[in-house]
Amino acid sequence: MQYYFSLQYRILNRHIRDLALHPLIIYLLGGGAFLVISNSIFKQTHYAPFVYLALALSSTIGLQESHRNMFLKWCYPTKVYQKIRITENLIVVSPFLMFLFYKIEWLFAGVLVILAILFSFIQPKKRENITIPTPFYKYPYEFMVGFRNAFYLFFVAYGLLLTGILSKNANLAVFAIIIVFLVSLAFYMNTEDKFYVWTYSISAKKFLFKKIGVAFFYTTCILLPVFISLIIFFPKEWWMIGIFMIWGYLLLLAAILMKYSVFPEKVMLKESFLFALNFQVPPLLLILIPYWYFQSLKKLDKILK
Amino acid sequence: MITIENLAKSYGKHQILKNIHITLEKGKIYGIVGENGAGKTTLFKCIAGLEDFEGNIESAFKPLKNYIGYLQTESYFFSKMTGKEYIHLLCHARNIQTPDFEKRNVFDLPLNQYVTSYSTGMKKKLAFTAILMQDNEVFILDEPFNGVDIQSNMMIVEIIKKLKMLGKTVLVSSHIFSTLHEICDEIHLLREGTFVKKALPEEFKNLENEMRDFTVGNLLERLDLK
Repeated sequence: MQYYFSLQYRILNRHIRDLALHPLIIYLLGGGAFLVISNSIFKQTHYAPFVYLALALSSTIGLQESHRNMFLKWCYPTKVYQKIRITENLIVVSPFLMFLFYKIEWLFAGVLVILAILFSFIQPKKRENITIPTPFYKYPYEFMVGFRNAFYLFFVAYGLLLTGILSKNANLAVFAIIIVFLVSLAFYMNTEDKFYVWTYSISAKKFLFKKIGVAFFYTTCILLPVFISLIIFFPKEWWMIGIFMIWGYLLLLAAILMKYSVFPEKVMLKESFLFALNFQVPPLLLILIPYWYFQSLKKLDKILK
Repeated sequence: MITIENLAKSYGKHQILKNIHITLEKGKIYGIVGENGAGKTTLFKCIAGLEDFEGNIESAFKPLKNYIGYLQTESYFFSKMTGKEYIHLLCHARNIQTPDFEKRNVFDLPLNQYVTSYSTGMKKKLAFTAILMQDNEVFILDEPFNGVDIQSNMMIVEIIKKLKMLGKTVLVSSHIFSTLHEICDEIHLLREGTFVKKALPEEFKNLENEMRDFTVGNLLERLDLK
C-alpha cells in the first residue's frame, strides 16, 4: 500500500514536470489558490459549509472511475483495495477538512470524513449501453460528444434565465449567456488524435473555417432562446446582452484557434495563461485571435497538405 | 502507382527507418512483416503523411493522403460517440454522402452503441468498416487481424481480396504469416528499419522458415523449460 501511494506521488510529480514546472511551485500556487477560493466562498454565502462539502465530495468522484478500480481490485487483495480507496478519498478531502477545522465547522468536518469513507465504497455502474440522443449529429464531432457529457449544464443555463426573468434580475439572466459560451468552448479544449484531422480532405483554411462555422452555428442554436428571451424581457439591457454575446463568440473563436495553434501538441500552460488573461483583459483577444489563426494555419497545413 | 524512394525516419538520434525503397502498384497486395519495433507502423505513418520523413514518395494521387484509408493498430475513439457517428465523421471528413449503415454493416456491429463499450475486435472492425465506406484508393492496414474472431478474420481476408479485384492498392502488416501467404502478391521483410528481403508467392514458405530460424534460433534452449 505504501508503494502504491509513493508511486502515485511520483506520477503526479511527473505530470507537473511535463508542464516544465517544479512540483513545489505547483503545490505552493495550488495551496495559495485553494485558500483564496475557500475564503471567498465562506465570505460570499451563509451556505458555504454546504457548498464546501459538495465541492470536497465531488473531488473524489474521479477516483471512482471503473477501469482504475478494476485495476486496483485486480492488483490487491480486497481488504488492501478498500484501505487504499478510503485513504485516497481522505487524502483528497484533507485540504477541505483542514479548512473546515480552521473555520471551526466541526459538524461539517465530521460529516465530510464519514461521507468520504462511504464514497470509497460506491462503485458507479457503467451506463455504456444507454446512448443519449444528441441533436448535434449532422456536423461531427465536438458538440455531438460534448452535449452527451454536459447537456445538463445547458438546462442549468435555461434555469438561470428563467429565474432571472421571474425575479426580474437581468444580471442573473445574462449569466445564462456566459454559461452557454463557457460550456461550448469547453467542448474544444481537448486535443483530438492527429488522425481525426489528417483524415479530412480539405485545406487548413477550410478546415479551420468549418470548425469555427459549426461551433458558431450550434452555439447560436443553443443561445437563440436565451437571446430572444433577454431582448423581450430586458430590452433596456440590450447593450449589456450585445457585449456579452460578442465577447462570447470571440472567446469561442479564440478557444478553437488556440487549440489548433499548437496542434497536434496539447495546449500547455503558456496558451492557457494567455487564454485566461482574456477574462481580465478582453481586448487582448484582438491580438491573440489573428496570432493563433496564423499559427493554426501553419500547424494544420503540415498535416492536411 | 506509389513510388517510395530512400525513405528515412529518425526520432532525434534514434533512426527508425532507413533506405526504404518500394513501389506499390494498383490492384496488388503488399505484406510487410517484421519483429515488434522493426518500424512497420512508423513506415505506414510516413506513407500516410502522419509523420515527417526524409526521402521521396511519388504518386499519381495528389495529395496522396486524401486517397488513403489507414487502419491503425489501435484506433483512437472519443468517449460518448456511437459507431454510426464514427463512420459518419470519417465520411464527412472526406465529403462522402453518409452511407446506408445497416446495409453495409457486414460485421453486424451495434452501431447505435458507444464505441467505448465495444470489444477490441469490434473496434477494429468498426475502424475497418469506416475506411471502406470512405471509398479510398489505397489501404494501409496495420495488423487488421489483431483481436478479431475467426469468422471476421475470414471476412477481412475476403474484403482485402475484393479490394484487389477492384484495382485498389493494399499494404498490410500482420504477424499471422498464413493469412499473408493467402492474400499477398509480395511480402517485404522489415528488419531494424530497413527492407532486408522481398519475397514473391513461390518464396513465401522460404521466407517464413528463414524468419523462424532468425527469430527463434537457440532461444528455446535458453528458456530451459522443464
